[in-house]
Formats: sequence, structure tokens, C-alpha cells
Amino acid sequence: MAETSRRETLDDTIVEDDNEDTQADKYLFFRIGKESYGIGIRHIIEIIELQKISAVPDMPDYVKGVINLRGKVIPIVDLRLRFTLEERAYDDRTCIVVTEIGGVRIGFIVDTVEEVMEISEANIEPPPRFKSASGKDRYISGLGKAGEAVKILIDVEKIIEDEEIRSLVEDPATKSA
Amino acid sequence: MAKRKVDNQTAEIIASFVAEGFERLDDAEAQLGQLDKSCNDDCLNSVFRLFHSVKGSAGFLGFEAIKLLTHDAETLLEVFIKGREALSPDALDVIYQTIDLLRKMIQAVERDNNDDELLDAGRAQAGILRSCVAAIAQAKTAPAAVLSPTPANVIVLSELVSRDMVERFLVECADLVDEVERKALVLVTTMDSTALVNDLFRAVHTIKGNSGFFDFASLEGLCMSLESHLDRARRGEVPINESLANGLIAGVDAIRSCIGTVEIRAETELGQDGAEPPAAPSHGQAKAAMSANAALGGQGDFFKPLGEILVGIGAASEDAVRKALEMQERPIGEILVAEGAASPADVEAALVIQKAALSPERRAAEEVQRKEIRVDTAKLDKLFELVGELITAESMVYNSPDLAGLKLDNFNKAYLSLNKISREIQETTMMIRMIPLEALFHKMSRLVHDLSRKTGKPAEFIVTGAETEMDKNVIEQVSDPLVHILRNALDHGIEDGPRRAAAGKSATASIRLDARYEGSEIWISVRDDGAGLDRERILRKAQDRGLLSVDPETLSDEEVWKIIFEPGFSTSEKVTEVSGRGVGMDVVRKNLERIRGRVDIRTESGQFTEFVLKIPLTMAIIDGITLRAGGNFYSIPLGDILEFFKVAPAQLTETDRGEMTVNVRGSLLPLMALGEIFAIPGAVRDPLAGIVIIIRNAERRACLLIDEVVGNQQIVVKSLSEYLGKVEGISGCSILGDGTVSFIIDTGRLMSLRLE
Repeated sequence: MAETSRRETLDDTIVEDDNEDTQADKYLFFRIGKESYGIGIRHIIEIIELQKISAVPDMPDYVKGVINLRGKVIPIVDLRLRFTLEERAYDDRTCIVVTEIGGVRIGFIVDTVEEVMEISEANIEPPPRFKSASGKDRYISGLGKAGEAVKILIDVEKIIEDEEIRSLVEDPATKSA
Repeated sequence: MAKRKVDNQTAEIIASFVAEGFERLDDAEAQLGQLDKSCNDDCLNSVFRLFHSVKGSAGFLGFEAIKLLTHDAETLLEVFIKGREALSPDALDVIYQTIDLLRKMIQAVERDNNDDELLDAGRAQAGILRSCVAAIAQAKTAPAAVLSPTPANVIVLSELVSRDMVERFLVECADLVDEVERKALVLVTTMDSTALVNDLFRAVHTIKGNSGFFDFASLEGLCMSLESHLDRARRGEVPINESLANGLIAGVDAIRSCIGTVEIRAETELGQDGAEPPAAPSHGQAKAAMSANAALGGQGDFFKPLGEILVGIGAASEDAVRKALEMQERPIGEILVAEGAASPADVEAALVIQKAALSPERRAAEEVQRKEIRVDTAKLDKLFELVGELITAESMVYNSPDLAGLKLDNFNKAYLSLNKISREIQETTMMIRMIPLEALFHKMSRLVHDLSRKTGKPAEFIVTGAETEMDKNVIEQVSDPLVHILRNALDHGIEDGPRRAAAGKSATASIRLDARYEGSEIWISVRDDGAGLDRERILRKAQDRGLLSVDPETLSDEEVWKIIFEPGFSTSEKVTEVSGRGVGMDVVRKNLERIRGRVDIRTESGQFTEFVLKIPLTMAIIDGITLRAGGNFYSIPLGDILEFFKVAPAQLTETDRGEMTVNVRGSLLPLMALGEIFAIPGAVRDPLAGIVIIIRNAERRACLLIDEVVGNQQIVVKSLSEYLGKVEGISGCSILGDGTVSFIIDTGRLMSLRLE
């Protein structure tokens, strides 16, 4: 149920954004481990190379800290850790994908950026629903078919509006009491 | 009540009515607050005018309840204005109640687009108002104020009309005229728009009403004729066409010239040099008017109706003009031509003359009137943010590693002048956001008035320093604390009548609210002449509540007073009833912490209690020390740092639980390692390897172990991302000269993380 309503809202935004037709079905794909993931291109601000991250205390391990992007301080989330995959040393292909959702900017660390590709709605299947929703399953909005390959489409809003981080930061007063 | 369906245009009108209505009610309340202290005709009159404006628009929009209520409130105020006397306390209460009800009504309008549901309440309140009027009328018959006629285009200042009011009125007029012009221009392109005409009528009507109030006869007359034109158009008697629009635009220019050249005079001046011509040569605007008048060949009047000019140049007989004026359905020129009383060429010539009266010179004079503009605060915030980025970027240029070791004489010179300019931009931007505390203090006057009536403790409220300016965002944070402190002062601080008498104090208590600059801070103090804080009672209550963890005897008075800010101190009803102060005092501390301020208490048993809120001038830029721990940078506000030094082994003592203390010239301070609190990898944990900073917050002091001190600089405070929420011990972040992010440490919270 939750999945379908989410799909609907996603579809709605796509339909409404008439003037962003060109962006509607396009996704930026990047790789984490063996899998290829996609984020709707309208959420993407830019892709930058990895830079010095200042660690913020008292954060879950996947929140790496903040960076200064031309005067704006934006938090950086390691998607690998967010999806509860194994940590891996950063290399020169590691990138930060800067997104903006609901006015909030967040950078996601990914293994490597692949390409921008169009996947029409007809080629998107709803995500499989396994019982034990571990890590990333919760953030998948659908599976896109591009020829032979299957790509995982991510619902960025879900990553941000996650209950986990909220509970961590919600009420610091209770923690210190 | 169901939401009334309205078309878009009406919805817009209603929205602006709602916004204006709230603003006017706030204004009225502020004015009434001043009345509390001194009988002031100015205030009464402006309140009257505010009610009148609300009534006008409500009547136009068909909000019966609001119209009814404002009308009766006006009547009541009029009694006092005419009688030239101070508002009686009862009447004042009734007016306050009326304002509250009006506010509810406007809220209803905002919600439902009508105020029908409150009609009954309105009738009841109107009844109260009327009985109030009747009671006063019975007591005496008020003599009617006699107003002397004044020459045209002059506003005479009097007891009733202050310069300030006139200036505000003129600015308002300028706004309204702009609106009329805009709408009139739209009228030209979209014919037959009745809603638009209604808008126009309303705007002109407002100007007329206000100018009538100021006895500004010339403008009033001008608006009157425009209004009657519009009224006819509104009722469909006159077609809404281009000639109407053109007539209006001409009217707009006339009104502009009228308010652009108006002379403001004091009443006494008028008496002395009443014989002199109305325009003093030294006065720039008046001079412009004079030259325009000269061009007209006439004298005295600032703006001649077209008909008069035609008569003046002998192109039409006076009779013909009068006849045409009676018709007034088309622009007068057209009528005269149609009637054959003037040739088109004559009219053309007259129009040229009329235009000359509105020469650019006069237009320039109009511009002088506009001293302020309204700006969306979001834009200001954006500007502010950009300036912050500019400062950061500038410092990144200057500190660029590429420049290291180069001989840069010219560059440095250029940089210095750039730096000077950018600092100035920064200061100016900050000033834009500063607004006087006046509005906030007015709100407090109202609060004290209400509370004093409710608690039955007469209190004199003395406000000073209301002109002190503060950052708009900070003012919002100060409002709640002030409310709580004042409420406490009246509820608990000030004794009841018998007790005051027994203590030999006057029956009327005094509460002082003061604001002033102190260094880089603003101090807002609230002082009452009540019973003062009672040390024993506070300690007893604190013990009952389990808030005391140390021996009460060891606590200094200051420490005891701080207890009342503890959240637990005030939660229970029972405590607040029997104990002294303590309702919501934790709000005071919390809000002040948010704006990096603090609160001090001074009190003398049986004499007074004074709360001093000490607030930094700005929240946006602070002086800070930047330091490093592990790979991260942190900044601490300069005011929170006492000293830093390298610790000697002899100074250290380790307790049985592995906690360290440092002996600093005899006082033992707890030692906390920043690296340990924030779990920073690579940060020093060995006190001997790093640097120790003594930080303080309020009365507390502690040693903080860090890797090294990097430098001292002004830091532009940024908030951490919404996504991260509030991070314990960190109040924000800032970007250093080299572009790295440093976290600003909230020393108070940081200490609370580790210490009792």
C-alpha cells in the first residue's frame, strides 16, 4: 500500500512538471558494488569529486559529515553505508552526487557515476516486496528495464525522510537528561 | 460557517483587507498602550482613524459585523476626542475588548470570507459600546470641537495631528495613488471591469477619508470628485471606458502633485505668518509648485481643474463649465466640446497647460516624499546570506595558498580597500534587519494593562529605550521571555494592596521596561518594585522538587536565583501557587540560549526584582577562536573563552573514576577532551600533548582539551543542514578562510554533556 501511494505521488509530480518534460523520464545512474542505481534527474544538482569532509559528531555512521560547496554547507551521506553494504575505501572514481529535495541539499557518496538514461514509465516495474526489508529495499521506488539490464530506481525523498535519523536527532534534550 | 465562494479578484481584495485589518488593529493597540500613561489626543485620533479605515473597507466588502462594531467604537472614541479628555479606564477596556473581537472577526474573514458567524457577538459588543457612550453623555455634554478653516494644500499640525502622522499619511497616500494608477492603466486595456472600479473607488475613498481627517481640504475635494465619478461608473450610470481611465490617470497626477507639494505647518506658525503666501521660497517642493502655478498664470491654487483653466483662458464661459460640471459624465473637455462651448483646439491647449502643472520638476519633488519601501524579509535573508558568502569568499582569495611567499604590495593594497567595502556592505545589510523594539514594547504595555486589571494590582508601566534597534529575528525570540517575566512580576513579584501598604509602598506598583546598548550587547531589563526573590523559599521548593544535588548552604545567591529557570521548578500548579516566581521561566532561559544571550537577576528582598536579558547585537557574525581537534575544526565564541595554555603535569589530578581535574591558580576545574566528547578520530586524549582552553558559560567553568589553536577571526554563522537536525553541543557552523567547515561549539550544552 505504501509502495503504491508512493508511486502515485511520484507519477503526479512527473505529470505536473509539464515544462520539465525533458527531465521527466531521465535518471542519473551510478554504481554501488555490483548494482546500478538511478535517481530522477530533476533532483540532481551536480556531481562533484570527493573532497574533504568535516565529520559531525553524534551522527549515524552513514552520515559522513558536511562539506562546503561554494559557501553552502551540505551534509554528506555515504549511500553504501546507508544501504547497509560493506564499507569500502574511497578511490579516485568515488563521487559525490549533490541532490536537492524539498529545498534541502544533500550529497550522496557513490562508488562511481555511470550515465544519464531515459527509462519510460512503461518499463518500470514496482519493486519486489520481500518480507525482511533489509536496508535498501525500503528506498527503492521501482525496477527499470533498459534492454537486458535491470536498474534500481531510488526514491530520494524516502532516504531523507527516514525515521532512523529523525529519532537520532529529534530530541537531544532527552538524551542529555 | 461555510466558506463563501468568491471570485479571484474579490479574494485578493479580501486578503489585503485581512492583512491591513490586522495591521491596523495592532497599530490601534499600540497607540492605546501609550494612552495608558498620558492622555494623548494624538493617540486617540489615530486609533479613531484606524477604526475608520477598517470600517470603510469592511463596509465596502459587506462585512456587517465588523462595520457595525467599528462604527460604534468610533462613536465612543469621538466622545472622548470631542470632549478633549483622557479615555476612562472602563472605556479603554471596552475598546481593547472590541479590538480583540475585531481580530476574531478578521480571522473569520480570513477563513470563511465572511464574518457572519460573529454577527451576534458583534451586536452584543456594539451594545456595550453604545451603553458606554450613553453613560458618558449622561455625565456631561461634550462641547463640539471648533475647527478653523485652513488654506488649501496645507496640513496644519495641531494637538490632534502630529508631524509623524502626517508623514505616514502621505506615504500611505502615495502607495494608494500608485495602486490607482496601476489599476486605471489596466482599466484601459480591459474594459468593463466592475471589480476594478470597485477597487479604485475604495482606494480613492481611503485617501479621501484620511485627508478629511487631516483637514486637507484640497486633496479631499479632489478625491471627492474622483470618487463621485467612480461611484457613477460603479452603478453603471457611466460607461467604463477609456475616457474614464484617462480622467482617473489625470486625477492620479493631480493627487500626486497635491501630496508632493503639501506644506506641513505648525498651528502656531499659522497664526504668526498666516498672511504670507502659502509657499515659502526656500522650500524646494513649494518652489516647484510656485513655478507650476506661474505657468498656469494663476496663483494660489496648486492644481486647477480643467474647467477653470478653460474659463481662465477665455475659451469657455463659466456657465458652460458649470453646466458641464453638473453633467460630469465624461471628461470635462469632451463635454465642453460636445456642447460647443469650447473648440477642441482650446481644450487641447488647456490640457497642455494642465500638463505643465505637472512638470517633471514637480514629479521629482514627489519622489522626495518616499523615504521607505517595503521589502519581503525572504529577500533580506537572501541578501544577508549572500553577504556572508561574499565575506567568506573574500577571505578565501586572500588566504589562497597560491599567494603564499609572493611579494604582493599592490595586491594587498587592493585587498584592503575591497575588505573595507565589503565590511561596510555587511554592516549596512545588518542594519537593514534592525528594527526598533517599539512594537514589542507596545505589546508588553497591553499585557501589563490587562494583567494589572485582572490581578487587581494597579501598576504603572514605564517604558524607556523603545527606540533601541535589534535584529528582527532576535526580537521574535525575546517576546516570549518578556511575557513570562512580566506575568511573573505582576502575579508574584508585586504584593497585593494591604501588603504594599504595610511595607510603606505606594499603592500603585511600578514596573520598568528598559532597553539599551551595552558594548556588543543589548540589555533589556524588567524591574518591579515588588517583594523580591525569597532565597529560603526557592531552596525549599527546589529541594521538594528534587532539583538540588548539592548542599544549599554552599550556593551563592546568584546560583539560587538561577534555580527558578530550571524546567522542573515550575511544572507543577501547586508550586506556582505557593512559591514565588517560576511560571514558564525555563522558556526565558531556553529562548535566550537560542540567541546566545543570557539572563541576570538582581533582587533585594522587599525592594525590587530586576531581570536583565543580555542579548548579542547580532546572531549572524561572532568573534571566535578557531581550533583543531583531529582532522576537524571548531570555533568557540570569544566571550566563552577565558584563557588557553599548555598544561603542566603538576596541575593534573586524576580521580578514582578516571576523571581529570586541572589546578588553575588554586581552582580545580574539570577537564574534558573534545576528541572524546565528539568521538573525533585522531584527536589528542593526553592532556600533556594538547592545549587546554578554559571555557565558561554563565557561572560554570571547565577545561577543554584540544589539539591546537588555529586563530582568531570573525565567523559568519550558518546553520547546519535541516537534514542533520540539532547536533548536541554544536550551535552551527561556519566556513573558514581556506574553505573548510568549522563547527561552532555551544559551550553551555557542551558542558552539560559531561558535567553536572
